[in-house]
Amino acid sequence: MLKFWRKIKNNRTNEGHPFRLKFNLREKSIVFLLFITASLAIFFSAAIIYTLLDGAIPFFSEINIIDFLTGTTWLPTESIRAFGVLPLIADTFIIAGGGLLIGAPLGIAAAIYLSEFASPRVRSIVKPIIELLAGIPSIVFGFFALMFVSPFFVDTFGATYFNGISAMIVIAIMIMPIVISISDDAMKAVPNHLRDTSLAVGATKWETATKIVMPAASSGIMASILLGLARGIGETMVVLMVAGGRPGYSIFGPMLTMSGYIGRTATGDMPPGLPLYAAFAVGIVLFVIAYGVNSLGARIVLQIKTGSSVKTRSKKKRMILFRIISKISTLILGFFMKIGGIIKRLIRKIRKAKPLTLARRYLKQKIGVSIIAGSILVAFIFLILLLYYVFSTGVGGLSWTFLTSYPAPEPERAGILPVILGSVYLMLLTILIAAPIGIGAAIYLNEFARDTRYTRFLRRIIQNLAGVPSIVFGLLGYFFFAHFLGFGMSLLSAGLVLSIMILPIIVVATEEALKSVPDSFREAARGVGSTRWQTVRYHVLPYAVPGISTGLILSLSRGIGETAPILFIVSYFGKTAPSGILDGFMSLPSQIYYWAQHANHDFQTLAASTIIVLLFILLSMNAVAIVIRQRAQAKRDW
Amino acid sequence: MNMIRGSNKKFYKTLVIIASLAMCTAVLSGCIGGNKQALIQTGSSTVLPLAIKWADRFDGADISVSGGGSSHGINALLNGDVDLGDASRLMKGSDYEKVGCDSSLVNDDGTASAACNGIHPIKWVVAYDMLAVVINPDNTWATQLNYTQLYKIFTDDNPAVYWDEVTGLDEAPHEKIEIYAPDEASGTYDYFYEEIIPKWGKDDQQANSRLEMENTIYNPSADDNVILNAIADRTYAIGFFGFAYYKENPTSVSAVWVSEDDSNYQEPSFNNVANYPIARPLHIYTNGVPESGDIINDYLKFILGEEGQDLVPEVGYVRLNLVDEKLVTEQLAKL
Repeated sequence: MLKFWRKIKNNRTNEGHPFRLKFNLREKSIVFLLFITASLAIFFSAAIIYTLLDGAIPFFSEINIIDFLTGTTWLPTESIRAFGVLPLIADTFIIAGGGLLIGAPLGIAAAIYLSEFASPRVRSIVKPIIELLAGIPSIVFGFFALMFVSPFFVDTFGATYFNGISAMIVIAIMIMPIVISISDDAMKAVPNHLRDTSLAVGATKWETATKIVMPAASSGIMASILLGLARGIGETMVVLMVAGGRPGYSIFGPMLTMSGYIGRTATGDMPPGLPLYAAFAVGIVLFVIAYGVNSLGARIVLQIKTGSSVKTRSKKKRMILFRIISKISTLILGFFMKIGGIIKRLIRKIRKAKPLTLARRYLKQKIGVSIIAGSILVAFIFLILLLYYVFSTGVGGLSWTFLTSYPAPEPERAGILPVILGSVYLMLLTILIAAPIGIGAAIYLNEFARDTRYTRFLRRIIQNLAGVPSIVFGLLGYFFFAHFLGFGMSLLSAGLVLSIMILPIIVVATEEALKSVPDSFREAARGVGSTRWQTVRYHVLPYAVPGISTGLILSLSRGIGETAPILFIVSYFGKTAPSGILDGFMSLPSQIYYWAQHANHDFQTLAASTIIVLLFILLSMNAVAIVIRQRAQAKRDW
Repeated sequence: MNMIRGSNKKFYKTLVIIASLAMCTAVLSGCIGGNKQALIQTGSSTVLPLAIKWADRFDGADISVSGGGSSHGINALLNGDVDLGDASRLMKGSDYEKVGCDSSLVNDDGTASAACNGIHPIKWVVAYDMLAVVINPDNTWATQLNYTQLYKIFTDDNPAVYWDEVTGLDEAPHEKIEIYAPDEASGTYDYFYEEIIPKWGKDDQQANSRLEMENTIYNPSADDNVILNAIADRTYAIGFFGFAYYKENPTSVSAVWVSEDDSNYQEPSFNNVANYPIARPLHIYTNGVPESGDIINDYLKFILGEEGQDLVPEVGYVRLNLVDEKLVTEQLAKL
């Protein structure tokens, strides 16, 4: 035993063996620790699957799985037992698909404008607006849909109080930023020589954009559509608040999506037994659909980012898959183009073709550009309307009393101090859990991991965590952390859930920050004899800190706005902020949710005031992130 | 090298800042939180407003209150996740079964004869909730209805399409009935049908809700406002919701007098709750009878005492002593 320690000691001092690779306990344990943090993602994914299966197994022991998957009647009561999930799937796709049908064309048009026509000045104005739209929590969209959009459809189109169309419209706007940013990236990635060549042979900029750049970026555009669809399918709060409680096929009537049903089990007086277990069965279906759509989209994005489609491994399968995807995407885009062509030909036939002069081609460009620029205006107007409505409703409720008291049952006395503190603690706890895991995992994956099957698996798992619908995290939070692990309906359970939820964002941001440090730094450090960990610790991490902290702040601002993941465990009343991590807690978005639906309508004003506070916090966080980013860029000396 | 050290220092600086921030807030919360004991209460969304009212006025503890439904409340209590579980219905055998205990341990009155996983749920009746069947103020023919008539209107068992098809309402106009009422996710829905459909929720249930028919005239809504407005606007509409909501809007709709048989029609009102047939107790379940000195014991005494009961009508529910004077004294005796 003594010998062993001496050996280690000798090895560590490296006495007498200047060229022998030393055994460094510290180094090894650090790398091992990093490896563990990265591997935690497997545990998290397993926890999600365990939660869903644990609830679904008692359900499927009573209800035939075939009946469940093929049934067309959804009447989830203990006595009737009509658990046919098809109406829920149909409603999910009607709402998400309808949203996509509106949001995707607007988004793609906006992306074309931004990437091909906008001046840097316009870009610098429009980009933050899009980011702002992307950063607004879904509870705020839900509130706006309930209070403003839905009454509009009720008054003008005779829609019922709860209706699918409001959810659809709002989801369309929520999808837009995703479609815009990914399509924009995809079109930016199209090599410039293609544009130059096209312009050189005399095509107008419009023709270049639509006939050269867009087809070249088609797989990226397809990916943006898929990711947008995944967002729409997984959206919970908006459908929970405005869509209603029964599946129906008319968009002007009530509709019930899969995430909506799961959300209702957290908020309604559900009878015990099968109707509750059904939420897990529905959760599995939702999980599989959203996961599939999302990972398909994410894979295409990855392939665009890395340039080539496939790496060395199991080529054939992947090649085939990729070919199928690109075939499908070109087919779909081609289909639309064909339809466009047919329409064009028809128009030409009717109007008797005039020769295609240069003037006409430029006119076409002018009209085209103004139309796609207009699509940005749609997002802009929606944002203004939303902000105006929230501010005009809520600003009256803002007062010192409101900011310093607790949510009393009478609106005159009600305030949000412990709610704000609850959200702040939740954020701190989340960052305390998520930052070490996320940064550790990213360091491991980027700096230490070899390209093994296991690493690729890890990457995929982490990446796919991003595709899990938020309401499924809600089930995880209550049934796994609060109940199975016994953490109760506490701050800790909520912090853990939000940590897992923002983990992929932190990993991606950290990896990008690490990648931005030039390899020459690493080579130089290794060259003068630093170990791998020393290299990372002293020569890579310090330069990545600004990037990492920006990523952390942005991921947190995502976490603080989430309602669905903590829907099952959050409290709606409490006089004080939690004083320990096992206490119950309130949070800003959940308080908005509760007050927005309160029977006493004065509370809806307070909900709007709470939104103002929440948006203020989010904006401040984003401002800090921007400052850090800019200072780091100004200071950068390589 | 210097520069690296510099950024290195910065790295630690940020760490220190984050740590101190965390400390600050922890200290701050200590100040604001005081040293009061924290309780967690969850369950029925019907009980929620009442629970919030009590938690607000009770000074002995910091009580976090959340909703989520009666099943959730009982389940969370049986799992040991919360201190108090709210329920607008009685505990059933299935609640025990769900957490892996013998369902026969639960009695018909919602109490348990033995503990489950070390938790022995004790039922406390804390208030009463009435349900109002409401019609348009212009409706003169259905101002009083019995259970047979409600059954004919609200179930799928050979239901009446026109008002004059309802048993005993031959004089009513030949106009179509429209129903505006809560959807099946609400506790009120379950509770209404439990009253008018024999063996509701059992395997041999006699009929189903009219909501579950094809092309139904039952318009469900989760929002009581919608129901209220719809019935106020439509002469031939009928519906139901919690009495609390009717009390807030007594002029826009009228409440129906109800009778279980064909005699003795009763008016829904606070003072008549003992006779009105569609009234139900609201419960809080605790783990065992809390010992005196325990904060939960103090809280229950507060709820059942004068101060707590005085708050009940403010939320639109009915004080216990209006139903049965003994309920209060019997329960207080246990504490």
